[in-house]
Amino acid sequence: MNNTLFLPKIPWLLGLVLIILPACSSVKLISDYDEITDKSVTALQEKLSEFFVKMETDIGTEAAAYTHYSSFYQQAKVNLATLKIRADAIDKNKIVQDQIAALSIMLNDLEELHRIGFTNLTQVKQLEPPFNSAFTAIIKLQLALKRGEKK
Amino acid sequence: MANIDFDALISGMIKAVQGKLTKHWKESKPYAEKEIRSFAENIRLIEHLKNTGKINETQAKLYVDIQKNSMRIVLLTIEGLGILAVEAAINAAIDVVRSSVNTALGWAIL
Repeated sequence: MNNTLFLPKIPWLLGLVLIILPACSSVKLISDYDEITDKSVTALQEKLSEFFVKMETDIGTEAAAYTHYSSFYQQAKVNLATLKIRADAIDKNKIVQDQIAALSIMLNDLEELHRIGFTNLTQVKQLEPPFNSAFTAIIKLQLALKRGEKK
Repeated sequence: MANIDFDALISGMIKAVQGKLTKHWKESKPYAEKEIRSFAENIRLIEHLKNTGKINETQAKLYVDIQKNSMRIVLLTIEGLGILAVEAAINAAIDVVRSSVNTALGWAIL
């Protein structure tokens, strides 16, 4: 009975399907979960967390100077460049690409602030929440991209 | 110099975001509000650092830029979650007709 009801609608449905489903059985509007992206972002988040913990200890001493942290920035930039290449290589991944680009700007701004110099704890503490929010959001999206796997 | 009215700042920003995220506001509200409050808190700290002479204009701009990009990343996640919801809805609709269409056509096209 259901087939009889559907028969007149089949040409319309078929047309719709041919438009939106060229060669697959389900619609995909956004990239799949990428384990490497997820792990790389998590690793970078750990580096930033270490940075903030260390800065909180070093602040007010010579150890907090930019020169002592230049290798951290270099390494973080390498990680971000690798992440960018990875994100660019994945189909329908514009949102993640934009997130990586925004994260790169945040890191550059952090480096610039450090070059100018951190002189008190408030200046450093203020930076932690926006980085935490950014990493949480990126990881949250990656986990959601697992789709059915997540349950 | 006038003090910033933070309550007005927060409610103004929430209203603006709500206007743009009309369709997805219900799901986005907790994230968006948290980010906006964090943004306002950042401005409050910048005001404090400026008033105590611990920050200059260049530094303030960098702090705001970091906060703006953080907010952008959060909103991009909200956008991604919205796209995933639309994708799930389309696929659920296709699942409903898959068996009927495939049977009727004699081809497993769905």
